[in-house]
Amino acid sequence: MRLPLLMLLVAGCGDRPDAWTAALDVSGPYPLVDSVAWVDGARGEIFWLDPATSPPSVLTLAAGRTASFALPTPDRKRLLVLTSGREATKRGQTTIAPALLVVERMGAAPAVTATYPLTSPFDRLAVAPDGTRAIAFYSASPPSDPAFFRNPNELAIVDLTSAPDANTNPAHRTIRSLGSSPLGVVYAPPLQIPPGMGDERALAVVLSTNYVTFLDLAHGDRSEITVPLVPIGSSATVTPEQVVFSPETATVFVRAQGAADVFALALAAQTPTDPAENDFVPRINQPSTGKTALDMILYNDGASTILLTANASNDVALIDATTAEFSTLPMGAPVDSILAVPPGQPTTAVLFSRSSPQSFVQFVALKDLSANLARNVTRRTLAQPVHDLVATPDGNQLIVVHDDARTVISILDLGPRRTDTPIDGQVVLQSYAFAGSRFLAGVSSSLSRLGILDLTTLATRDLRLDYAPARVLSVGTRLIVDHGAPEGLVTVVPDATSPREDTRVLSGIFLQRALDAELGN
Amino acid sequence: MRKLSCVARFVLVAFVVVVAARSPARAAQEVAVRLSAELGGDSGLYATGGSKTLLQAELGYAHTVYSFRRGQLWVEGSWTIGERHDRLFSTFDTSLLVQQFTVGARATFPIRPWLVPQVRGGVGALLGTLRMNGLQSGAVSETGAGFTGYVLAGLQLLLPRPWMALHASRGITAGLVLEGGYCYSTSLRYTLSPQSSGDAVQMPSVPTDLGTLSLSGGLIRIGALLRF
Repeated sequence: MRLPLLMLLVAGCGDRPDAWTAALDVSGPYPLVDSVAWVDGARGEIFWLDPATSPPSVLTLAAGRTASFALPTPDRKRLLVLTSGREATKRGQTTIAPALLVVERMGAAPAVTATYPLTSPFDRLAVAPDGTRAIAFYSASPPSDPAFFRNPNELAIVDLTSAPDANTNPAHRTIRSLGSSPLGVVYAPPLQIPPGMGDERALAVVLSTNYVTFLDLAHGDRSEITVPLVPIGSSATVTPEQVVFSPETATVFVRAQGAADVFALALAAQTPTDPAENDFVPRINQPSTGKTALDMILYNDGASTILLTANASNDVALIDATTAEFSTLPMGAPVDSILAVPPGQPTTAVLFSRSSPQSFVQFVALKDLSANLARNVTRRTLAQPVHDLVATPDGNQLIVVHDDARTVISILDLGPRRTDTPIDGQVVLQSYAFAGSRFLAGVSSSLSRLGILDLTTLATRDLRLDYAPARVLSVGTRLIVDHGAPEGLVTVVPDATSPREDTRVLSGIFLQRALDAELGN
Repeated sequence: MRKLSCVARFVLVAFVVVVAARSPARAAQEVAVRLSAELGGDSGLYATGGSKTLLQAELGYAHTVYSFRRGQLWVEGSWTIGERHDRLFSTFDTSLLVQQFTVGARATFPIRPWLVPQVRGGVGALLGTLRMNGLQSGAVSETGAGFTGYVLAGLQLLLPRPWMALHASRGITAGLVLEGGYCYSTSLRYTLSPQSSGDAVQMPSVPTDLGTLSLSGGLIRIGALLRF
């Protein structure tokens, strides 16, 4: 009897690595320029969907174990993956060091093209708009690792254009704290201080409760500059939420929750007496509009650079970025959001309220606004309250999102007549994407359909899906419907005009080659 | 289905070969039930259980076809079946049902009438049905087929009976068999496709490659036999 028992014992002995039983920890989808990626931090697998192949294919890349955060670069060509690492505590485990992985397509397959070693398990990343730098920091979330100490003000500054170097790239530093820790990082566009003179600076602004910190990214040996937003010793709390930069005046505007005004930080040149000193200094100023700003944009009107703020007092303020002179313009209704149209060099600001949705939007013509004030404002009434506004890729129309199950969206033409076309539906729009510049696609998890709207003709069509959708993404003109299934389930639509026969369903993306995996503890 | 029909044909032919194999007039026959543990399959087995060891039960039939000196040559056929199930990634309920249909030859070399060393080898068909539940796209059940073969050496321990003392005699006895060896199997490949839902017209799908399972590895068996 002993041998059968021994055999049963052998069969029952659990020598299986933990990764086979651990729950998947998949984040994504991350839309990239020609593909879509997901990262499974539990197994260390990156799934790379190429919708352009026929049929669509999924490639797996063994990387990203202990992934805590991932982010595509602004050009969507690379995926940056932060891994928190872990210490081996069991036999068969391997120690994984924290790192920033750069994943990009090399030929047909994705590959890790750089691994930047980190000294701490950061879980947030901010990437510069030009994709040349990234700063890793800690989020406010409770730490997932059992470290005894954690320094929440530590940063890792990564030069993504240079090869990893254990000593210099990334550069780790701790910023001075006034009792808080980073909430986010914002990168300045190239700035000259004073404007029009000298080299362009690469500055980053770290946002923390009650203060902001300036970092000169080109001079890592120079100390950071901390700018308090409240008097030292004050019990007031202000939380920076939005930063806009005025390169024309070398001014940084900070909007903060809890502050009665925006903060204007004018950057002035100074001559350093020590190599570790900065050659610029921010001078803080509050324009004293006395208005609590809820959103803001910066625009140029002739030679003037103007900051336009939407205020809690149902008005907008126009603040001259150079002189800090201001004027206010009553809007007669709550406004907390400003959409600049077109985004780069705005000529029109469209104002609405996300927190108190109204059945209208207000157009503000920015040219000569300071002089014309109310004469530049027109109100456009819509059928339903406005919850969100999005400009179409060509900038000629606005998608007005209504939180209504009947009139899901409206298409607001930005031409002279500003016609408004309501688009009816059955359910609330939960996710949408533009396929190229011509089509809008939308889904709702309560309806197994992909709604497609031709923005040129406003013709609609439906594509019946086999499964309930969770999200729709676009990769060029292709549409990817992610069904949010635990096994990884997507529907690839080659084109917004494609019939059902041309679509492809991929099921089990996260189980791709699972039986061949050599998973560890 | 094509794989299955091939296997079915193989099983039928194997059955005919074993049962109809011409035997001497005084042939011994044997029915055996065995428990086998297949050790050291690939790590894909972890998808359906906590170890790489696959436990199987075997039902076998054999009869002698030739006697030489003190030994005998047997032909045999067997059906082996085993199932395991577990939870994969804490999300998917998985199971694997493995069946082997084999024919083979065995040589026995009695040292004593009750102590009989043996070697045996055989080939056959392998069927592995992988099931997976918990998928939004529907439960998956896919059967892979492959070739299998085994080489085993072992020892029979028979109950001593009076007829055994007589030369070329035949009677009924029972015993135990212990054996070990190696089992080779071609890999079973699995893909995952959304389950069809009745008569609904579904979108075309692209199968996902789940990978392969190899069941090759060491084999130990223990069994009870009845000889007559």
